[in-house]
Amino acid sequence: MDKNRFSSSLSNFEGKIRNPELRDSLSFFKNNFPSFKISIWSDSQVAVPLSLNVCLPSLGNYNNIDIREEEPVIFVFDLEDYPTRAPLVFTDRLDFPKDQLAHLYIATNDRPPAFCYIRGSRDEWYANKTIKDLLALIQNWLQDAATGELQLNGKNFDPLRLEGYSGTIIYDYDFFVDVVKKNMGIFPSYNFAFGLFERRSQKSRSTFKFLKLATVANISKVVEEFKEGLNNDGKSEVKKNLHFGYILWASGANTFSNYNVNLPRKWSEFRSFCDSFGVEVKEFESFLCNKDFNHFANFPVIVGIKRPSQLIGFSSDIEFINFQFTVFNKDKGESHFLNDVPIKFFAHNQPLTPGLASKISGIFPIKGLKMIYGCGALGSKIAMHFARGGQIDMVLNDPDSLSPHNLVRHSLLADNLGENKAIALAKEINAIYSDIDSNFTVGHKGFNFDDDTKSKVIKLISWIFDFTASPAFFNKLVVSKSIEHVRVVTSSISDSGNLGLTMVEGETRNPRIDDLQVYLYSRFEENPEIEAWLKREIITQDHSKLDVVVGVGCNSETTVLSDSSVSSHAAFSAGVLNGLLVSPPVHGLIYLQRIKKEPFFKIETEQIEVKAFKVFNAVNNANWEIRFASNVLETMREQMITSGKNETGGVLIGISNAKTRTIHVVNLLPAPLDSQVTPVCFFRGVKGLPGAIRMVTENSGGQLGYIGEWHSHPHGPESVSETDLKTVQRFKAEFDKLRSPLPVFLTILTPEKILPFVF
Amino acid sequence: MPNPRIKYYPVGNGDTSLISLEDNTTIIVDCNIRNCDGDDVYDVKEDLLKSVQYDNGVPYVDVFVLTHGDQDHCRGFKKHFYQGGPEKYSDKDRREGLIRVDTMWFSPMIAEQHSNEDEDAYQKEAERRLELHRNKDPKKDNPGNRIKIIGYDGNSDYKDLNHLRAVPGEIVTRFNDKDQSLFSIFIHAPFKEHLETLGDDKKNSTSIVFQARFKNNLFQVDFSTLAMFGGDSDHTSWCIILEKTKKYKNEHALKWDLFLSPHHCSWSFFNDRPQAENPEPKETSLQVLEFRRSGAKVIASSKKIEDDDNNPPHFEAKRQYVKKVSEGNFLNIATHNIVDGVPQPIVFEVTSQGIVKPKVALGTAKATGTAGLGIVNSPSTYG
Repeated sequence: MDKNRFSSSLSNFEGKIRNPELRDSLSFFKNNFPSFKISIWSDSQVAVPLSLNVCLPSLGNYNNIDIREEEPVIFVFDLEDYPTRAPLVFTDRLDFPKDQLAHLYIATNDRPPAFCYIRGSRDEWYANKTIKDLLALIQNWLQDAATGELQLNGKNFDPLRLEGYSGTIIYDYDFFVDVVKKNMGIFPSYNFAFGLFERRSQKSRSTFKFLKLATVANISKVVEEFKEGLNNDGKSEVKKNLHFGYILWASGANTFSNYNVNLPRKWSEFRSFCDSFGVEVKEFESFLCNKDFNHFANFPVIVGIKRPSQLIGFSSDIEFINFQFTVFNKDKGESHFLNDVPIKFFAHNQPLTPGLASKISGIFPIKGLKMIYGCGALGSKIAMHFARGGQIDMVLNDPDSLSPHNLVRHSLLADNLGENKAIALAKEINAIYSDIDSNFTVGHKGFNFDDDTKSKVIKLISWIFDFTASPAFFNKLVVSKSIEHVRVVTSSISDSGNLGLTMVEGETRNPRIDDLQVYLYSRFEENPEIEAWLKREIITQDHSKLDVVVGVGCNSETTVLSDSSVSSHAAFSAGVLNGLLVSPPVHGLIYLQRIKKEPFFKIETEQIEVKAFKVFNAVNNANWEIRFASNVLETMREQMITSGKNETGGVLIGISNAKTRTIHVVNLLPAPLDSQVTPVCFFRGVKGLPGAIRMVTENSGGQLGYIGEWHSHPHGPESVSETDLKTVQRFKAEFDKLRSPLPVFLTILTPEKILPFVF
Repeated sequence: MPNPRIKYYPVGNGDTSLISLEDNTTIIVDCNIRNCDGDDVYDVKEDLLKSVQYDNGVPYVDVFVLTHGDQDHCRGFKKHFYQGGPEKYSDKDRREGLIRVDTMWFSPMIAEQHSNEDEDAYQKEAERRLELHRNKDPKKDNPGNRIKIIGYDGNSDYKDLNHLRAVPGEIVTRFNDKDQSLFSIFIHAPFKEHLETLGDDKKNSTSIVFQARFKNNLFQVDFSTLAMFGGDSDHTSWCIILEKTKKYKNEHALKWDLFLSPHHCSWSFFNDRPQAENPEPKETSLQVLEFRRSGAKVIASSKKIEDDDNNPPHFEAKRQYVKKVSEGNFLNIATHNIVDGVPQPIVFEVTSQGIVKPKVALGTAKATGTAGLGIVNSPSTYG
């Protein structure tokens, strides 16, 4: 028996292997390793000791680590659960250089340490591997250990692999590094600091959350807070279970690359452990015996080890190992512990901060306040997507409370029933980041847009998101003059829930959301999907109203719309907007997401870029604003040039909005064939014109139609002529009788100017 | 990023080596791509197509170093590597798997003695590129038109292209228009003295000789791996290399972990042939071998080395190498790793601790058969 091998202490397994998969794997070993034997590892596990050949590097092992060309290892199989439970693999060498290696599990039950052979779950990895693969992986592991590639990831240091934690301590790694490197504790001459920790739920396993460091500046407040926690009579709304915890580190400049796979379980072992990393504990022990304020016996202790290089996955070279001490008064002597107090090791959790959320979401964090109007099904989901991505500087606004039927497709849950949607949503978002002190997201009841634009806050706002599906609110955004510095986005759902629409304004609010909306309607000519949607909308709505409500206003028990559809639209919008927040577009953008349910649920998306509109005030009435799509004026000018000395003209296609006093022109129809032109007159004919306009009206679902006329004055004047005025009067007489008020809109094009008139 | 690798292909008495860097840059040193219609020859071309990078579907090596123009160092160049303007690379070329050589390394001294059609093709392609550079053609720096002149001019004069030249004693760190921070090449030969060399072995003795130097990170003081390549260079070349390198205090450039035994383990590295007439190895050649580092290996890219009078490979030459590096570190590609009767490439992975065998590739529990399976390609008989 080889006394240097752990397997020599194991008894032979004499039983019968009933697990067929295990029998196969053991046969593989038997056929490939002449010294094959099966030993007993535990009641439910068998062990197979083997020797593996390792290819050592030509220039010698990294740091002279004692890895050999022949390495004995032990494969341990679960008799019942193999192969669902992957084998464990241990070194069989009692003198294995475990202190120099990462990727070893902490040794337990006086057994050698096991190889941490895969990141993540062993069982999941082994689900698609064979025993042959595991054998190769262990050989590779040992080769990597010899070449230093196990310890080094580029130039970074691999921290200890720990399992079997008894609890968790939550603190910000970077802050604790600062505490160590700048010795931020209350005692400048000591190598430890202390601070307040809150112990959470006693029901599950212990969790300490770091609250604040005790410093010279705040010590009295910290002690006061601690005492308040002790005296809490239970009447306080939030009862805090407070502990003083300690951060301990090596004061010298030495770094340590050794690993210690036998973590201490009592004070005497802790002292040796600290000693092996240059961490002095004399003053610490004395402080604990004489000056520790803790009321409870349990408290956290975190030891910072200085490693030779930055740790993999961390920002610094300090590795923290986390413990819980259990110290009673009877354990405390004058300056030493009287008893070997028990110690457990804990895991570290990084508190969830918006920065961390951004990082693990792969979303670039954007500073700047986001004003969100509308926290219904769509708005709540988009806001929650922002929040989970770390974009939490939001002001949420909604007038409604959460009703039971909202639970079908809202991001809030039943706990929030009856609460204002915006306020409840802000509360839930802030709860995600409860590990940070301040609340970043604010909820307001109502749509106080007018007040908001008058307040100083408006200057801090970078983005306004309109998820209200409200035409009235849409109009407010359109006419507001206080938000020129803001990017406005509107997102809504239409077409019976099958069309998601997100419109993003261009630079300096041009194109504006109303420009984008009209431009989208004008795309019916090129895009049959848009034409079909607009036609469906008009059927869905009252036939007498030529008004598509873009946004279904789904806060109704009768609205049929699945949560999966809303979530799909919300995820698409949030995904698009996350990118645009980083790099706001110059031009306007329209994003469409279509859900098609036949023959199966599928999603199509589309982006439409919209250039800035050309904007004018009417020459004769500055209250009216005329907004031409970028191509329209170019076409008019081309036609004027083609017509030479003669006047020319045609009919303009678009829409007017009496509420916002805006006329949008998105297209033009050429002069009818029976039109006549002279150098001083343009006689606009009618041949084919009614049919062409009817086509526009029908195919755009009534959203677009005749909006006015234009003609050129190649020789001037730069104003309406008497002939023009007579025509205007004739038109006016007819338009005044219309149910929907249509202004008489006339544009005159001269070689130098564009002159829009609204009568 | 994967570690760099050096692969020595099994090509009988000939050389084909492939250096792959961390950024997937590939440098091929010589080629002896034989017809692999039979089952007993390793398919070098197929492996090259799996090992090189692709540019819009066009396979390419970053650099081709032709140490000299003997057939066993350039066989298959004409057939398997693309020649001509890279912009004319056609779909047919792609289907045939013609490998574009982004940058040629070209030694004018060895270029004037071409004696086989592959060497002719290499020379012609080099001249096409040199002409582009000489004429300052706008396409001259495109991948597939790049060229580096190694050593000195023979009869032709390329002084106007000196900006493309690297001479012995220089360290090259830029490969295919890209600077490498962890890899470099020290050029040992050919040097000026070779121009005066006469005799049958002129071509061999004027081989490009270089030391490939690897690091794994920028903080390393010493190199991870040093690999010596010398084509068919003979003992006279190595004598001069030794003398010059010492003279200019470049001893570091003589160190090696991998030594591709010149001329396929020929006695010519140790002394003049035949060995019977010149039985003792030259002291200078033995000195070169003394520059090996710990665990160094000699690679014999040759046929199986038998205890007979053949040369190359030469049994006594092997014995001399083994005396220096031990039997276990002398690797004859023809016998080192045989699978189904076919010699396999010898591959080394470069780690910061030196060379190791590449880690074992893992399989999966789920599997399917492929068309390449032997049982698929042979009839089955059932009773």
